[in-house]
Amino acid sequence: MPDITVSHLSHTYHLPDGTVVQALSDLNAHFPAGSFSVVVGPSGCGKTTLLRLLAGLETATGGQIDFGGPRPRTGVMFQAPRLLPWLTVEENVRIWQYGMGGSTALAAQYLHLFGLDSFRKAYPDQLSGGMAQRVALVRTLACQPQLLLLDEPFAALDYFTREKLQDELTEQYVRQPLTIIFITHDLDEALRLGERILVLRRGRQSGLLTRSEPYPRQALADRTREKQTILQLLEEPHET
Amino acid sequence: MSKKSLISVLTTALPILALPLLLLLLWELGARWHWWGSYILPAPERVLSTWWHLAVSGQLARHVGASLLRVLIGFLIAAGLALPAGIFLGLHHKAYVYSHSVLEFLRNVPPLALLPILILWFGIDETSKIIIVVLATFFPIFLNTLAGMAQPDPQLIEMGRVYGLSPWAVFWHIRLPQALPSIYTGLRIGLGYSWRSLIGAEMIAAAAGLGYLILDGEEMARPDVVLAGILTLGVLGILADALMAWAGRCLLWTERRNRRA
Repeated sequence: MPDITVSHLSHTYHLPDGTVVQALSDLNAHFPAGSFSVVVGPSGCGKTTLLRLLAGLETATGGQIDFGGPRPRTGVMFQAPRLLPWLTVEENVRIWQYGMGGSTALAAQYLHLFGLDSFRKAYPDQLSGGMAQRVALVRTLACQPQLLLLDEPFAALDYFTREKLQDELTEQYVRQPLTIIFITHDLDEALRLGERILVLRRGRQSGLLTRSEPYPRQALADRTREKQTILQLLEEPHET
Repeated sequence: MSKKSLISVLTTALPILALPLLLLLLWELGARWHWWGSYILPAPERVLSTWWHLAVSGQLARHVGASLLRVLIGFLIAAGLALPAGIFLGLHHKAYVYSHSVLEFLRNVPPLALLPILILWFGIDETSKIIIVVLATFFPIFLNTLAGMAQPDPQLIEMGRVYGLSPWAVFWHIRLPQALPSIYTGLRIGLGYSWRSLIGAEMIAAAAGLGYLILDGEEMARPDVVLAGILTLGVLGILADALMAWAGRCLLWTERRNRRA
């Protein structure tokens, strides 16, 4: 899969009360093939808009996204698991069989790998938040995506479940050729996951950090310096 | 039956039967002590004896059969019209806007008010009565189907789009299952409306049916026949609703979820 290049990307929302919100403004970014990029920034900086445009869920009002060819096979995971309550875990995981297709064998393999074997016949209301999100991750991975877009998928989870799912995700990333773009507002999560950390502020890229530390990454204590760098990038420039 | 299971059955049955048994007792006491005349409300045993007589003579079966057939045909026709209409208009908002005024007009006209014109058009035979049932049953089914289809969860629809589901697949695998509880509510209410409207129609123009039996009892000054007809109606209504409730428990994902909770 080729690199993804975002050029002069802009997007404007017109709210029902007449307010115009500029979510993205002349954004330029580059996502190399097979990289794990994390887009980080405060609420309202345009992270989710960028992901929705990359996923093709919305059309940009300006600029373009170049996938270097046809749109790659894309898996998207949202903050909520979005499981269908009338289907079992197994049926939910295979919902793509009615659309883009995927691998049933791979789905079974992932269910096993993510410790969901005994929950195959369970319904979403019988799962904890972490389990439900794990099912959503299996569903996304089993459709064999080349590009994986994740919009704060672990934001609603407790610390321990979040760390476990982060490790499971990086494990899959190391195992197979995947381009991952992960949206978060959590700096610790960004540092734990990202090889490339793209900092967004007011709809523009305000900085890029690269990290080569291998996975799985260690605790958060030694990341203070990098965290400070990101915080500085998020700060408003002083008027001169 | 063990003592434990007997207690369990009684504990379940008591809340259901307590009020009917109390009312029956009051009825019996009132009749026995002449709180009212037997012409106003005959004693329970008199009503039961009349009911039994109607049952063994085959009259009751004839009237129940006629009413059941009308309800069944009317309900099926109404569901056959209301379900596709509700689904179509729930999916196509513009079509709903165009048809809204006509539907609102029809919804606000009581079906029985149409009976005279229906008799003029279709005569006094089965057709006019079945049309009354269809008109009364159509709207609860239609409106609930419409509400279920018109309010999908946008997050689930978007999830479907992400996985490349076609519009048909989104409808079949997401929108329809999500709307099923609402559609089911419409069918259940609609069945109740079928009975109510049929009895009204049978009281105006029929030679058989429970409505006719009740009206005939009134004309023959037989309150026991009237009450036997009403009791049969009530019991049939409860049975029909219980059947629908059972179907709901078997088929609805929300019912299964409630049982798991």
